[in-house]
Amino acid sequence: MTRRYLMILCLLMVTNSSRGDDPADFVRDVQPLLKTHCLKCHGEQKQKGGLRLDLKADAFKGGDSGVRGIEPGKSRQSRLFQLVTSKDPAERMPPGDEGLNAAQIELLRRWIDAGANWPDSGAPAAPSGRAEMVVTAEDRQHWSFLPLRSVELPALKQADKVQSPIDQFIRAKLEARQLSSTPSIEPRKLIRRIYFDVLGLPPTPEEIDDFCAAASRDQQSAVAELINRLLESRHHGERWARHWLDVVRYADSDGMEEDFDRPHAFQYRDFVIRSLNDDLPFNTFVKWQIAGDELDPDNLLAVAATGFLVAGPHAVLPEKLLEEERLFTKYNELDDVISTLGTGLLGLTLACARCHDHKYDPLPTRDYYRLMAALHSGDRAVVPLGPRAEVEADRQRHSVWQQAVNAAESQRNAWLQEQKTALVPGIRTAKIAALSIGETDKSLLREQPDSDGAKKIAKQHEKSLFISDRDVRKAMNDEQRNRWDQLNKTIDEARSREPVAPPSGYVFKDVGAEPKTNWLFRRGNYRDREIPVKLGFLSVLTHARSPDDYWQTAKAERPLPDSTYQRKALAEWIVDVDQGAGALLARVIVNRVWQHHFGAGLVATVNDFGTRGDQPSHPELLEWLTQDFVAHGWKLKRLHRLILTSTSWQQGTAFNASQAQADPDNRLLWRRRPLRLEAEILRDSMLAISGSLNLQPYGPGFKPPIASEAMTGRNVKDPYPTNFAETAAVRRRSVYIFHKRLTPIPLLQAFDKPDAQQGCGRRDNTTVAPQALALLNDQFVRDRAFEFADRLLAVSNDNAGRWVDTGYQLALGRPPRDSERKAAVAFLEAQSQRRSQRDAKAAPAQVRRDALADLCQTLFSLNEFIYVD
Amino acid sequence: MATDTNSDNGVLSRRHLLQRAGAGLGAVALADLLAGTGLSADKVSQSAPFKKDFRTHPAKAKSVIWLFMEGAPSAVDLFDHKPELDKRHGQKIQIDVFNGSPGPLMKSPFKFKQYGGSGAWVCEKYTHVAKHVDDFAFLKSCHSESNDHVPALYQINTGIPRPGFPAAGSWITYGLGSENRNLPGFVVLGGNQGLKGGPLNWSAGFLPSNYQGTLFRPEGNPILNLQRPRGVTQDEQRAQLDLLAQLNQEHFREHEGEADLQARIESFEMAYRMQMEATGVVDISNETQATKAMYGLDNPQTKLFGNKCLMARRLVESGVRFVQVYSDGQSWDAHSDLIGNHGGHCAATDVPIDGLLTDLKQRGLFDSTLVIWGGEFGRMPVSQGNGGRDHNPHGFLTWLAGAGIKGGTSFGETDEIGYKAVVDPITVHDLHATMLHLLGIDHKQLTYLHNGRRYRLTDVAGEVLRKVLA
Repeated sequence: MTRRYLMILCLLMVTNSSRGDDPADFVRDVQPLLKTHCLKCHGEQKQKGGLRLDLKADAFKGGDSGVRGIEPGKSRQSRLFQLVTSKDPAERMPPGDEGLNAAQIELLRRWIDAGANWPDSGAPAAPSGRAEMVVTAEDRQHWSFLPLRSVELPALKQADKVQSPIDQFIRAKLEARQLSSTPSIEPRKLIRRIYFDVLGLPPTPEEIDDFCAAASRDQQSAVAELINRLLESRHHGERWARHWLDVVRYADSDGMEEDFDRPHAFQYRDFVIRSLNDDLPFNTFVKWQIAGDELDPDNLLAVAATGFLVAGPHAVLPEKLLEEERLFTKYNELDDVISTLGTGLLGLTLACARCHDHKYDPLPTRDYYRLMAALHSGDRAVVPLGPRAEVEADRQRHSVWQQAVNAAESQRNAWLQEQKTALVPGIRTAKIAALSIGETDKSLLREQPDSDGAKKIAKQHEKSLFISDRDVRKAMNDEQRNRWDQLNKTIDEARSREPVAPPSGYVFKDVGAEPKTNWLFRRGNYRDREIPVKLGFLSVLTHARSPDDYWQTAKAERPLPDSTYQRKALAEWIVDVDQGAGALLARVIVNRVWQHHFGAGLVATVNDFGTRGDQPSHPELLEWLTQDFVAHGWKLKRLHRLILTSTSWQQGTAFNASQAQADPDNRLLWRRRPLRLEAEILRDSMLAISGSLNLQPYGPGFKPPIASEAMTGRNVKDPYPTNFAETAAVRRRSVYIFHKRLTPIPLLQAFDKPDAQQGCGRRDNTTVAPQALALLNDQFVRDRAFEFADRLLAVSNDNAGRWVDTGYQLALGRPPRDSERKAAVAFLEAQSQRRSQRDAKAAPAQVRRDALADLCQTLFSLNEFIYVD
Repeated sequence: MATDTNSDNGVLSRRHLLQRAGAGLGAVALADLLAGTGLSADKVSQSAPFKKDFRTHPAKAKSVIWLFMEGAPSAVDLFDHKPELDKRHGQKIQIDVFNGSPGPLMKSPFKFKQYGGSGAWVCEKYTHVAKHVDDFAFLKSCHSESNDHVPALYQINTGIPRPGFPAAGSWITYGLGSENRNLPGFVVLGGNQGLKGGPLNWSAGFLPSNYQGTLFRPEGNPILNLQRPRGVTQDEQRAQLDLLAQLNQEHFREHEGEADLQARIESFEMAYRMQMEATGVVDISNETQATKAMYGLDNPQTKLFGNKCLMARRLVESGVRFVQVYSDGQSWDAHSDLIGNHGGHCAATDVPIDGLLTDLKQRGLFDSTLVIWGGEFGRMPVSQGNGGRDHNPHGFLTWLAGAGIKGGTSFGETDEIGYKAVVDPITVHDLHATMLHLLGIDHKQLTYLHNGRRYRLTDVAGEVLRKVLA
């Protein structure tokens, strides 16, 4: 139902009830009027002038003026009535041109004069027991709901050091506060910052030297070239996919009690990595995740993308289980999907509207269930991926193959049956003869095998009388035995020709062409089946095009016969910049990208762009970037480039006490703050620096070795393995780790990797002792330290100074200062001494290697290692 | 793993270190850090430098020990004597059960007796626990939303029958902190065969991860990574740490204004101390034989649970705020053979619980420790399979004892056969609200802003059960 329709409805009510003198009804007439025109400023959130009109007692009492708000029977003495009829435009309510019309005023008068009957029970028949929320024109004025607008670049007093429009916006704000930006960081540190940001890997010493040389000739073009090169690296997608996987709470298992593995879920993860590497336009990226199967059913990536809708936790419940419990689970899981869709794509907390209208944002409960309709006609499934013609051809190939196997088996079985028929009587006779029973019983067995007596004896000697295939084989002649082998071989050969199956994906798909009935569950009660609700979207972001318009267009072409095309309609609405949610969608992703480059979003609450979320620190900049992003085809790499090449992003980290006084949180970006490596990047870096990182991309996830103490779930199906081979297969990049929901990897968990239960837009960086314990004592870290030491030993056999120099170059991308070199060399000496004193039998080479590993482990623990300038 | 915090929480990521001492396991306290560094809190944060204290009134309890009978024990077979069930034994009734095909009503196979001045009924399998009934407040009308173990476990632990929300222990550590910086504020002594739903039962949900429960093993190395790597002695590690501190300090001098870096330097020293203190907690060699015997450590049947109960006392003594002790083995989930299952669990826990309560009393800790006994839901009055009972979320029993609890009381009732809560039904939120109340926190005030909403442990409900408070 659009807002306009509701307004008409309201007016109709007013018109109807204004006939004659019948008293106005509070619930039917007055409450909707208050709701539409007054509660924005005099409701639950705001009580301007101390007046609150959604609660009976408060409304009667009135506001700060002290005059009774509503005086039953006396409209002229009721402050409410005085204000809506005031001749003074400054005093009249509602403010502005919006004042009430004559019919509405008349209605209020009659209601008050008739005694102002306000029933204590409030309004019936609405989702929350109150009048249903109406989305107003004012609601649409919240900054993030507005259409995109073009923004002028601000003028600057000092135009130097400005490399990009971004700098202009940042500098303008700084100038306004008499603050200045910090000079660029030195090239040696800049390349490190760029590598970790774009690839999540450290640069090698050679790459650093090359870059520094190029930068000394022309820094700007050296940086641009470097950024272009890295954005084209396939490791870029591996690094940035992780940010998105947090948002969609991606994991490789179900969670809940049994935590079944999802062996095909990785296709979604690979879709994300490939899309980022290929710079798939973000609007397509989103559309595929909602309806890739309906949009492009022959495209493996598009279909795998719907893994987004099934990425959350899931309980596999047996069919026989209590229906109540099954529904409870089903709608909680659907809520989780809607919630992730809301926060992840639109920065809106939709889940708040499940049981009642949203308390702060213009999100009626009805909107929640209208959105649910898009998902109510489908379910999770494992399906073959790829062009349908190929999938079908493969199915046929597979069935031809299966037939061949079956035929070979039948041939062998028929032949064998024949042989058995001939041979078994003889074998049985011999077995009877060998039994240690009386002759009478033996002859009974031989001659009257079906008699009760014989059956009883046979039962007693079941084992001895059993005729196995081995018995049959023994009774055969060579020719028969050869024939048997031959037939078995034919079967094995047939089996070995099994065609390679196409990949499968863990996806969402509709279960038929007709939408299933979908309801509005009052108070979230899923047993409530009285209010059917059809597909719709968020009213506040729906303009001239109605949901039905989107749906009709979506299903005009139906390449998939068994799908409702409601998700396609939703997908088209969500990316529609002019008529749908596209502007908000774009603002939200631009802000997420900004956050990962700077450590904080322009809007700090990245998952909440609603009225309770933070205001953008640089609204104009966010708008400009979003406009540019959309105008240039929703390309993330363009956005990255814009940001990375700005002087604002390249600033140094120098602290300045007086500027810090003015802007302690650095919201205005007068400098750069060091960013901590995420858990995965920390692990990848240790592998890279120790020289043992396996860069194999894509494919099924791997399970790194962990302590068995970390496996705490009981009744977990597909339990985490406990016998590990320490091979290169477990030293791949962390984005490829198999995320088992109930078995988090302790090292990653310690460093704040989210648990994939709910979408996570921004990781917390906690600083706690268990992190230090992990770096000091975790076997993974210790192993890497030894590999790192071996790498240094390969450079020199005995020169401690060279070890330290090379170690610093590899781990920190710079040579050590003299003081550092001295301290490290002294440490090596003392540590070797300690070690050889403790164990006199230890070989000097062993002592040296151990002490060097101690040093390498210390480098991994340095603040400079984990905080990148 | 909070997603979307804003300054309202006072815990915007780099403000985490601005919390009071020992907010979570090894969380670093800024007040200590800043002393002597020349930094002050307002250099790194513009407002609310210290997270507010959530205490709203004087606390009765300093700590909580939750004896968690995982798998759902049956009230009518342990503490809630139902003569009507005896009378109607064998009668078929109309009833919906989790796994289908319900049997007829089944009386308890155990005999009941009244104990203490309060005359509370206790079954023959819990005679040691029965000695303390005059200290108990029985909550006989608890109910929960899910019929399935894992959602129900998540609900009783987090308030919400879904994964991903902060556990009660996390909320409490967030609200109160721990009194010992070298030990976690929230410790879980898990069942020896693991727990259904795993670590999400003690997860910090959207709270910062330093508030998550720490799984403690009662022997040897209690927590992960507490043991130095093979081939590294304490001296050698100390030398590593000295070098690290020296190099980090040099780096810090170039990074004025980054209090996180100083916090991280301190975290290594704290880790070093924790290796000793945490190991010390599980070293029970200084406990007397009499104490060990009191907890049943001399008996193979009670040793496992007894050891954890003893550990719970030691942790509480050391200032740990919230300790959960899970029952062991294949849980109380008696779908068949209730006699064997509940009989076995009673035998494993009866003496240890008696020992714990007695020990807390003799050490003067009983008045400052809230003890909770209960499971995630209860069991049906009808039989299932071979002498078992199916799940029952509609009515189950929890008892409270210790700090601030009016002993010898009972609150709420199920119907006469023990199927549904009918008198004063108690929600999980009520239980949580009461727990927080005893710890000095109004449950409505303990909030955390996440994704635009001020979340609470008690969601939008919860009533303090005042009738059971002293």
